[in-house]
Amino acid sequence: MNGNRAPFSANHFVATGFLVPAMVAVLLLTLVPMGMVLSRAFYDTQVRDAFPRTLEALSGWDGGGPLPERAHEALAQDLRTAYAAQTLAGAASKLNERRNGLRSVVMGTARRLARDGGADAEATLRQSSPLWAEPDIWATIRAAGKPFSLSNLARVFAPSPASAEGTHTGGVYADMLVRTLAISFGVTLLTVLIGYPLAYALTFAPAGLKRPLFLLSFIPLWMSLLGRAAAWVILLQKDGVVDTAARLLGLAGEPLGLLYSRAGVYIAMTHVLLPCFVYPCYSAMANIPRNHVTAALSLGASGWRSFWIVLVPQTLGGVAAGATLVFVLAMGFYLTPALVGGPGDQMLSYMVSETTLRIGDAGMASALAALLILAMIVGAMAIHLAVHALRRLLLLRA
Amino acid sequence: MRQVNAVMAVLSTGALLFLVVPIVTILPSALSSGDYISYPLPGLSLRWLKQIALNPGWREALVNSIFIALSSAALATLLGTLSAVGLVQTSPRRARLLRGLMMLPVAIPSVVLGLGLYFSLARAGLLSTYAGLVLAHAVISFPLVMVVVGASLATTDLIVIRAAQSLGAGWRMILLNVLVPMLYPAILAGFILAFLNSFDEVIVTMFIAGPEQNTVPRVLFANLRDRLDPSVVAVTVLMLLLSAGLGGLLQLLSRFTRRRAAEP
Repeated sequence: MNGNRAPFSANHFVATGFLVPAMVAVLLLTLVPMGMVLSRAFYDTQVRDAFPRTLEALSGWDGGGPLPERAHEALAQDLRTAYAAQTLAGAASKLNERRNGLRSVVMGTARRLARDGGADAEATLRQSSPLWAEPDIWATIRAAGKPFSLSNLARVFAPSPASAEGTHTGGVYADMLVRTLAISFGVTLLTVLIGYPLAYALTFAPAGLKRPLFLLSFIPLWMSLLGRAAAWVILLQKDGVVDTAARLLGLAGEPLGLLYSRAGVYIAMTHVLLPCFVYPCYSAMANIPRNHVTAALSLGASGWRSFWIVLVPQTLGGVAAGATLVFVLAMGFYLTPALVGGPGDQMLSYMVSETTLRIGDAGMASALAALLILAMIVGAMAIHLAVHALRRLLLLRA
Repeated sequence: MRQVNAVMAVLSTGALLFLVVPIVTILPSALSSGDYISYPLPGLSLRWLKQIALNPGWREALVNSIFIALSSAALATLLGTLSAVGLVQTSPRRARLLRGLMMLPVAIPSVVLGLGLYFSLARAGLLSTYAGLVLAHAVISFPLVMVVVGASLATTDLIVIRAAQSLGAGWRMILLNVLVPMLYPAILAGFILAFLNSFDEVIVTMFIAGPEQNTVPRVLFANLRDRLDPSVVAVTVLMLLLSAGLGGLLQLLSRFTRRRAAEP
């Protein structure tokens, strides 16, 4: 990298012109989509759009006292309009997230209103459900009418099964966040422990050995990611290659049951991510001046001592880079745990896709996606701090 | 130090075996003659390779995959090359910022990007269309092209641009007659990377593709989850071999680029 610049156009207009197509692509196909994810996570207008009159009628209400007189009539009108426009179901689901059972009350009332006409709005509402007499319900509608809310995030951390209608169970999401972090940190640690000696060998191996070492270490890097995950399904399955090898070597008499297990997820993810640690770690190691270790040795330090306090601290920058890369990739992993793990080993990514494509809850999926990104950033920072602490520890020992 | 090196040699040999042996042991499985997956292999035959070659589902997926990978790689190569050329012309600070921005599509987890594209392509009416898939695959591939072409630009003496300029060449001529001929090994390498990336993509595809747009990775993923039979093993092995082969080609190209750069 000699960093040469080429102002081949005095006209900056042309220079930036080269960047415009890619920038438009990133804007439309990455930034706008990300914005939509974040807005769906925290911004929802379904209730506001379905209950405009009700919200207006409730705007002056203090929450505890008697309801404004127009409120019942306004609600009845909103229910009729939204029911006819078929926008009510979405809004009713949003209300249901705040209070269980409210969806069926709202939908039932709307059906009755559509059928009976209902000259006296208040009486019709009361007949449909006694809940309409509770000020709480009205307060819920008013709260849900605010488009900005953290309710999706609150649902992620809700402690217990949150719905009688059987779609969401809150505690599962929080568990999954913890599990995602635990698996990602565990895999990061494994790749560091296995990958560090490999990076060391790549750096210090005799010249003739380097090329084959390089090829073997980095061929997997550009091999198909799905192919590698799939390979582990085949390797780990009952009576597959791993089981057969273990039996022939006399290590285990019966199948190990690694497919659809947490151990299988660790093995496969570590295998897939190992080159992603070795490469940055090796790059950093290759740039370390060799004579430092030689100097330590000639000053009488033992081999292990010069390794730990001269070489290792200098490589920690590369370790941090590799570990951060592995962690960030691991947090977003989907294919490998989906294929190799059991139902209890799935990670956040899996939940994002399930929540979108099977359950159809875009708000919840978006909140999970936002949470995934946040956890990724916080975790990466934690790894950086941990490596920093390790460096200080090693140097203090000196 | 001899002791340290000996321990490291043992540990790194173990790491290398862990890395390589699983992939190598899986390769012969594609030639199994058995009716189901079992080890040791009962015998060798081409029956499962023949089976996938004749299966209309896999063939349709292959045609889709090739079409999407070729078109998205072409688009990604265009975007990536132009942006790499644009970046060397901007000030280092602005270049770093812009590079960060353009790396976003590969930095964001695929599931999150897939979800976002699911929303935005639905709004644009491009959900379940080939156009939507090609655009999405291009945006997650072009940063790879940008990095490869950018690395090649960084080792190229850009004084030739000044020379061309002083001889009166306009930017279009410089791009097509000077830069592209100089950078073509890197541009080709970028194209191959983009092709491989698209050919392996399943997560974003899962969010935005319709039932007609089955691709090889999508069918493979579905089969791996539902019914594991020897034809799935054969496809897995073919995917591994294809990516390893094209990856080897990449390696040759990069050696070629380095040799060119070393010439006076």
